[in-house]
Amino acid sequence: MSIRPLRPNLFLLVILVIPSTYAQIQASPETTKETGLPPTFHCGEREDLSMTNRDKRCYWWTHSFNAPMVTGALFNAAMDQWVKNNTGKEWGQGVEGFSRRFGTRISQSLAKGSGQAIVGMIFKEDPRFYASYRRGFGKRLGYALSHTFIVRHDCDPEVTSVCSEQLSAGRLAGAFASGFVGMAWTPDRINTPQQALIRSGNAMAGVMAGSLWKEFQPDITRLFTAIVRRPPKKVTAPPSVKQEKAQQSRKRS
Amino acid sequence: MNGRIALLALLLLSACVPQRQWRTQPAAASANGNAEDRFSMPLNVKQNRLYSLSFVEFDNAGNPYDARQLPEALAAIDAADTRSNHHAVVVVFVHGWKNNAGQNNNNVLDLRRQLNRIAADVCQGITPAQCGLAAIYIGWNGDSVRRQWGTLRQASIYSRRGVAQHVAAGKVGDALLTVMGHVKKGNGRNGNRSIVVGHSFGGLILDAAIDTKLRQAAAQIATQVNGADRNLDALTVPVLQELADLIVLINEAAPGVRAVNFLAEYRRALQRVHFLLPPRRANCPPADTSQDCKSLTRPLILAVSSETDLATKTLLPISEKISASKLKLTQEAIQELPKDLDEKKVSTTASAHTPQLYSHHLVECDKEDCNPCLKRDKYYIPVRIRSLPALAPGNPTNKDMPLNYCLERDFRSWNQTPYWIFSLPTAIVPDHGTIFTDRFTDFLTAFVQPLREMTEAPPPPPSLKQEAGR
Repeated sequence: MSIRPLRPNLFLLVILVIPSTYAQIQASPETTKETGLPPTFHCGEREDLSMTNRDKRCYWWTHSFNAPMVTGALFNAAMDQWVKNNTGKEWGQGVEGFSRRFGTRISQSLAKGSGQAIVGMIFKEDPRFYASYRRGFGKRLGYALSHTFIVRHDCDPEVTSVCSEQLSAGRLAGAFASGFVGMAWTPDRINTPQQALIRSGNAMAGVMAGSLWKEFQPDITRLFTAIVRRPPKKVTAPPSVKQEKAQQSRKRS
Repeated sequence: MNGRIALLALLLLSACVPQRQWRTQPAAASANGNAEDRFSMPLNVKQNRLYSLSFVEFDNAGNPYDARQLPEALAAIDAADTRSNHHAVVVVFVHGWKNNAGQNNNNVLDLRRQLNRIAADVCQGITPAQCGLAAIYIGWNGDSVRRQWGTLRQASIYSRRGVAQHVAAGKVGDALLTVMGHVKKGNGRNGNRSIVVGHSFGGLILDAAIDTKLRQAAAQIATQVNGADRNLDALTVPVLQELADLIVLINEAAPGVRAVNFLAEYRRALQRVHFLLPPRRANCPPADTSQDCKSLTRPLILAVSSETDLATKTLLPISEKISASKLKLTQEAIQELPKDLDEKKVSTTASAHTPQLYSHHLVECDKEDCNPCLKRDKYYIPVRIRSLPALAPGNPTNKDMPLNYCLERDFRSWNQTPYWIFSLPTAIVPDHGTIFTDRFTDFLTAFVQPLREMTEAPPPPPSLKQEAGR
């Protein structure tokens, strides 16, 4: 290798490295960012960080398909047979009927998550719920109810101090997807747009419950803990030597 | 049918995180290789990396994966000491559940980002080549299920707690004590500082690792106190030289049994001793009675948890009720328990979620005026959070805002020792995992000696040739 092509590189090294080596450190986050670090993959768990597309995919998967969802679907599918029995005539009871109802619930959940994820990605929505940290029940309730339909636009809380909010097309799309996906196999008798809209409303109620839970979860946990916690048992200290002697003398007398 | 079972097995296997050593290259073997695989990543001006980061990893039995990692970490401390002319800052971090020493692990990446911010503060005004910030990451197999498998991952709590307990009982204690002792070992190295932080199950590991040394220190103190109040300077406690300047258990995922056993045995002696920091501001006029001009107390150990950390506040007690840890309260501790606290609660709840054990209370100052705190505690510790981001949890204003707190002693507390225990507001630590923030760093700096000396009398920067050869 000849030395000639290296010269510009050496020149660049001198220009870039020497001043940075001897430049004084300034305490600003921008000047002290290490280059080459990949973004933190947090799946939406870290409120202080924005979400990459990878985080959003992970969020979609973990929120659409998880054990609580499967448990909920099992419970609802079991209850449907005994409580509402809407599909009992066509799908019957037993394993087959139960499987169909269970499959419907799972599909609804996946459709809801997928609809929200796809449309949300198009509109650059941050799918997470955020608590308001406001004071006063009314304000907090209002925030939680309104933020069933409102989400943050993608933003990096580390860089910006203002994140704009927008109507959540993703959540609405998810709710409609959840309501209408069943039309492909629901028995004709109850396969009407009205019924699909009711199912969409139920899906949106689920979103609302999520928003309320996010806002009031610390209070609910505190209340629950206060109810469950029992007062401590009194610890009785063993008698001191003096007390023991007094007891013994009493016994003797 | 067999095919389906095989497919399911394959699917489940894909959820596993490998249990292995992640940093495999010694410095000598990989001077030109990928720095990310090295035991010790050196300061790199070109990449704007203002710190060195060393890894010491342990297997599931608590044995080091590679005995060469620790010496390299110690060498990195020596290099930081030389660079900074004996004003090195050594940060040791023991990670917790759902983490390891992987190249793309969240704790590793978050720590690295935060280290650069810390470097920008402590090394402000000097050149990067003089910046003596060295970090050591204590790694273990805290993660066993990939992030995409949320529920399965949550279910790994017992297996990871078991591993953490094995690691804590293994060689990690020796490694931690070696590192802590090394920071100030040698002539002129008293200016070096060290902070050791254990998070989640990392807190469990750290707590167990330093238990013997803490007890030795407390025993040495107990023999010298004789019922009178003393400052630490008036006592001879050589064991303390082997411990870090600040030991922090943040959101520790372990019941408070160890803390209560320790406090029950030594609290009477320890509450007589004042661990003091020199005033934050030098050369104060005698009339100046501000907190910065006072010698305020410092902790021997700091156990704090976020009041909104669901993992240790709610899930830990449930999981401990289902399957309790092996550590039990001593008979002496049971007799000594504070009022309203019983054995069952101690064995299921983290100490920083047990108000009966609190030594202090963190009180937010009204409109940044902390003077009312003086009425309650003349020697309260001011905690200044320079900026709570507008969008951070706990900020109701939607604007960046500074926060001021006073950390007041609880004079009626059962625990009035230098083993400080209290809870943190959401604004400082919002949940279990969000600890690598400027506000938490600001909080910790309230308990260490000011680092202004870092910028005084800096040594000449090493030549580029030296820097490249290291």
